[in-house]
Order: sequence, then C-alpha cells, then structure tokens
Amino acid sequence: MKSLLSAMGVAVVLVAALAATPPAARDEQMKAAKENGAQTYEHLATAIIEIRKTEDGLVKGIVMHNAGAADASLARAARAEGGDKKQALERAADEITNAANEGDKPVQAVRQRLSKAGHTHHTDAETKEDYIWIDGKEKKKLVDLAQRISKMGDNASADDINKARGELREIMSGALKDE
Amino acid sequence: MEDRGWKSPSFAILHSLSAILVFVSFAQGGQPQFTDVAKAAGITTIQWCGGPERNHLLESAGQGCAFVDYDNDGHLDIVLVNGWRLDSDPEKRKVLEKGKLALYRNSGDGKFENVAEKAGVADDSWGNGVCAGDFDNDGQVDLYVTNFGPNRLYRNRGDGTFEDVAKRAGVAHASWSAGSSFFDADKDGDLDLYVACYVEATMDEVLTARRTTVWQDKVKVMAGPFGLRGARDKFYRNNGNGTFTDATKEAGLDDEAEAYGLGVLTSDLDRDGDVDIYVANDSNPNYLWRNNGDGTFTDVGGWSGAGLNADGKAQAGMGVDAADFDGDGHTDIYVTNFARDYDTLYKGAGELYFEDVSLALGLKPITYMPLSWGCSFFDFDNDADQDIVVVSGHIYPQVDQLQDEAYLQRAQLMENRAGKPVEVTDTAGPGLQTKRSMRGLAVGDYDNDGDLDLLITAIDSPPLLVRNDGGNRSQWIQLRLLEKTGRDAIGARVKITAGGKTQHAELRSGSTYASQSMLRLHFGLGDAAKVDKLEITWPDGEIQTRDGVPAGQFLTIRRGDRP
Repeated sequence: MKSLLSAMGVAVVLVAALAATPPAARDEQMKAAKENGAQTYEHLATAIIEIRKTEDGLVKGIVMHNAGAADASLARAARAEGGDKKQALERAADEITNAANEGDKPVQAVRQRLSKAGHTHHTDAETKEDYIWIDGKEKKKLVDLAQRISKMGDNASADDINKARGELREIMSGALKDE
Repeated sequence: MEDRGWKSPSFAILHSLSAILVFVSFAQGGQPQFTDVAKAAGITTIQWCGGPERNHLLESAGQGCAFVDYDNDGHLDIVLVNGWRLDSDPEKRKVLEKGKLALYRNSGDGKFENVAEKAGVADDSWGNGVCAGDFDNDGQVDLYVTNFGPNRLYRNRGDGTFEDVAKRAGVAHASWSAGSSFFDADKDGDLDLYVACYVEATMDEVLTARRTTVWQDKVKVMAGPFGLRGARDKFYRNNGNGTFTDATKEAGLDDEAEAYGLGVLTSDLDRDGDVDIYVANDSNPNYLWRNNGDGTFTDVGGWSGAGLNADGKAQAGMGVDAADFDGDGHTDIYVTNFARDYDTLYKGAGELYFEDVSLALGLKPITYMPLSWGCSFFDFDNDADQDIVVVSGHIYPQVDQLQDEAYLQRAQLMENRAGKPVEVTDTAGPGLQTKRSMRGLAVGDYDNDGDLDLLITAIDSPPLLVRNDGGNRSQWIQLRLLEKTGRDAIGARVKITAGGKTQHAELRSGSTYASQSMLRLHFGLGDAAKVDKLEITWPDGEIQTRDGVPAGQFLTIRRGDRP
C-alpha cells in the first residue's frame, strides 16, 4: 500500500511538472520518459532472469550436497560394522530423502516463504509433480531407495551397499542433467 | 443461522421413518444401526467457524470434540470446542458471535446438560481442538484446548470445576494450534505434550481475507495452505510440578520445515517400549518422530514409508489413527486427505516401516471424492476386528456450484472384511446418512451398553451424537486402566486372546482430528464368552496378566491390583 501511494505521489508530481512545461518540450520529455521506462524494465528483466538462473544453480548445489552426503554415508556404511553401519545407513537414507525433496527441512521452510510471496518457480505447488531438478518419478525412485537402504541393517554387505551407491548416482545424474 | 437441513420438517419425518427402519433391522439381527440422538439428548450447541463464504483458511478447519468422563461417575461426558461466527461484509468481516466451549455432563439416562459455565470452561476463544490427560497425576482428567490464540490447559479440580492453568504451566502458546496429545515421552511417569501448529495468521488477516484461489478452474475459493507460512509445532516436557518446559529443540522435534501440522498421534508404533509421534501434515510430508528411547526424537518419516504416498507425493493430511487393521501384529496407520485424493492406509511392517496399501485395498474409489477429517479404527459390530469410520465435509462452500462435488458430505463406515475395508454406510442406519461439513470425531460408549457410539462435529451446526444400536449383540469387554495415582494409564498397551483370536490396543490421548476418544479400551470378542488371556504392558514396561476374564463387563484395573 505504501509503495502504491509513493508511486502515485511521484506520478502526480510528474504530471504537474509536465503541465507547467511548454508543449514542444513536453513532447520531448514524454518520449524520453517512455524510452527510459522501457530500458529500466529491460535491465530489471535481465536481473530477474539471472536471479532465476542463480536459484536453479543454488538448488542444484543443495541437491548435489544432499546426494554427496548420502554417498559419503554409504561409503562409510560399507566399511563400518554393527551399530555404526546402521547409523551410517540411516544417515544416507535421510540425505537421499532430502535430495528427493530438493533440500532439507530448513530449505522447505524457505520454499514456503517464497510461495507466500508469490514465487513459484521452485516448488511443486502448482504441478504437484516436479521441483526444479527432481521430477515426480525421480522423487519416487529416491524415496524408495532411501527406504531400502534404511532397511539394510547391521549385516548389510559391502556389495549391496555399493550397489545402492550406484543406483543413487544413476538417478542423480539423470536428474541434474542440464536440459 | 443458516438452514443446513437439520432444522427442516422433512428431516424430522425422515428421522422418524429411519428410526422405524432401525428397529426392524435390529429385530432381524442385521448390521448394527446408527442413529443421531444429539437433539433428543439435549446437545444443541452450534459450533461456529467463520462466515458463510469461508474467505480464510481458519474458517475451514472446524472444531474438535471429546468423550471424557470428567467427573469420574462412569458416564462419558462431552466436550465441544467452539469458534466464532462472522458476517459477510466484503470489506472487513464483523464478529457476530463468539461461540463458547461446551461441556455436556452425561446424566446417565441418555440426556446431557451443558455445565460449561459452572465448570469454568466456557471460554470464547476461537477454538480448534481438545485432548485429555491427567497431567498433574492427581487422578482427575484434565483438558488441553488448542485455539487460534492462546491455548488453555484446564486443570480438573475434582469437584466438577476446572481452572485454566495454561499460562502458569507454560503451555499457553499463542498460535494456530490444531491437534495435540499427552504422552509420556521420557518414561518418567508424567505426561508430556505435543501440539501441532498449522499456519501463521493474524485475526486481522482472517477478517479481511479475500478468496483468491480458483478451484477446478471454475469457482473462487479461499487461499492456502500453500502460499501461507507454516507455524511450528511445539513439544512440552512435563516438569512434574504442574509446569512444563518448552523442550521442542532439545528433544530434536524442531519443526524446521514449518510444515502445516494438523493431526497428532502418539503411539509406540514399533512396540519397542517408548512412545513415538506421528504428525499428519497438510500438503507436506507427514512426520514420523521415532523416540530414541531417551525422550529425544529422530524424524524417520522420509524413508519410513509413512511420510508420503505410494507415488512418493505428499498429501493433505488432516486426521490420523492407528491400530492393527489386518491382524498381523503390527500397527497400521490411517490418514485422511483432501478431496480428489484418497485416504491413506499405511500397513505396518514392524520397526517403523510402512507401506501405502490404499490402492491395493480399494480405498481410492471409496475415499477419493470426499474431503475427510476425523477418522478412527473401531470395532462397531464387536466381531473382534478393527473397522474404520471417517467423517467428511468440504472446505469450499462454492463447490455446490459444481456438478460433482458437495460441501455437505456423509460420514463413511468401512467394515473390515478379512483385512479389506468395505464401505457399508448405506446400510448403517439414518445417523450415518446425514450430510454436514464434518470435522471432529470421537469414539466412545456414552450409553454404556457395550458398543461404540460416535460424536461428530460439523461446521456451523450442532454436533451429531450417533448412537450404535445392535453392536452389542456380540460379546465385548471394556477396560479402564489406571496408574497407582488413579491417572488413566495413557501409553498402556493391551494384548488379549479370546476365541482363538489375538487383538492389540493402546490407550492414547488425542489422534483422530483434533479430538479425544474415550479413555477406555474396547474389545469386540465375537462369540467368545471370555478373554482367555489379558496382558497389560504398563507405560514403564511392567507386564501384568489375567486369565479367564468374563466378557460383557466394564473392568477397571489399577496397576498393582490383584484379580
């Protein structure tokens, strides 16, 4: 509301200034103002497009971090024994779930805050299907993988765990491919 | 007051005809029949929830209810949470009436009297839900009421009155609180408290809200929850001296995702001797907080199989309940969801692993169109298995302009047939044919006749008190479990074997949708005239058994009592 009143105030001042100007000069001024407006909007559009690209890049980084953390936990699990193995497997399952959701809980809260402001580039709110990078099918694969990994237990073999790592890498390389 | 059908003369005629049909069906030994007796019982409080057009999400949430024996006279009394009535002013709505919480005392003869003013609980906050539990271990059940605004903790004085001690106890938390539950998180003998919180909003936003979302590309409806900021859930640890400490972060329960929390279930879901927490979140993944054994928790919802549906998608979770539906010894979870989506039955596989079996069991065609809220597993026909009841009602009154959706909806009764839910609502009696925009649900035997009745709340309407007639034709037993202090032993688990069948049950606070079912455990026993073996696992793990317990009784067992 405040910004609207400010804009209206500026417009009133401009119109008053124009009204006080001789007609020929007034025409020149209006033409310049129109061109300036378009140029400024052009710059703003460039900035908005760059910000979207930055968001894409940032989210990709977040997802890569989650997937990387999952992979590291799986590597640890393959080497570990007993309770340590189970803990590492659960940690991997957590990180894979985070990757499936394109971020952990604090990131999800940021997404909701952006949605409140009308920003929907990043969310599955509209399509209920896809995020920026992880689509619905990839999300399902990741969630299923996370569950399977969490169930592996203390006696999981290094072979089985490394197989799961391979599966994770395959899903992620497909998901994070630039289109 | 809007005419929603329940006041019309034609309804009275239909009600009478239905009562005749009930009698005939009952005489013929058919399926138990349900009849709405709220008006006859004197339960007339209208539960308000906003203005007729429902411009803001708050006006869609409705209110919960409770069956609770607050005066310890053996009869279940009724708590009805209430909201505010708003007008339709397009600029800024005005408050026409602040509804008050109602406490209906059961006089034992089928009649109830609203004693809320006398009892000191007639609060006029915009209320949402209620749960029960004796937080101060004095043998008197207390009530926690969640509000849009400060919550209330009504301490039962034991003389028919309550005092609100929420602020003093440290649990007044002013937010939009929804479902809640008392449970002993750290096994120290007193009840802690989890409160789900939904959305951040102010009353000014509610009163000036506009309908800005388009539903089905056709009608303008309220916005949210997407686009609104989620409110964070709270966990309070009981200090044992009448006060609580906000231990949300310390217990690992920080709701960093700011999910839209609604339904709360506290249960030892993996039967490892400590109580876990399940939160049905609207439009976000559900939480499954595993108790680490020391009163701290880890969210395993993401990979447990109970956070998302079978397609890996978050649904709009509202109500939740849990029981061993398929009789395999593992606890299953039922979550109600939005319209044009199915309710989800997560089959338990042990160790907090679940699988969404909704499609495999045929739940989609039954539950896809209704917008569902309160839900409960219960044995309505006492045939020794868990059936399901779900109450529904849309959030957008504007859907009445569409051909295939309706604002007012029926409850649904699903009979358990060998582990498959089969809808039997059509033949379940007139009480389940009523259409309202329903929300809360509590299950209890209010008339003490050995079968389970239903208490259902509805938007801008008096509640339904739906009496079960004929459910007691088969054998049953009800258990009231008390700690040595006289407190209801919330968290106690019971396993019974009768007639060759084994059943499990757990005494819980909260669950369903923002409501509280009776604090007694009911078992249908089929034809078995006795319970061969009854095993109680008290909350601290101590086990007590009894053999050869006769059916057809209300049995109170205080820990340490000898048979």
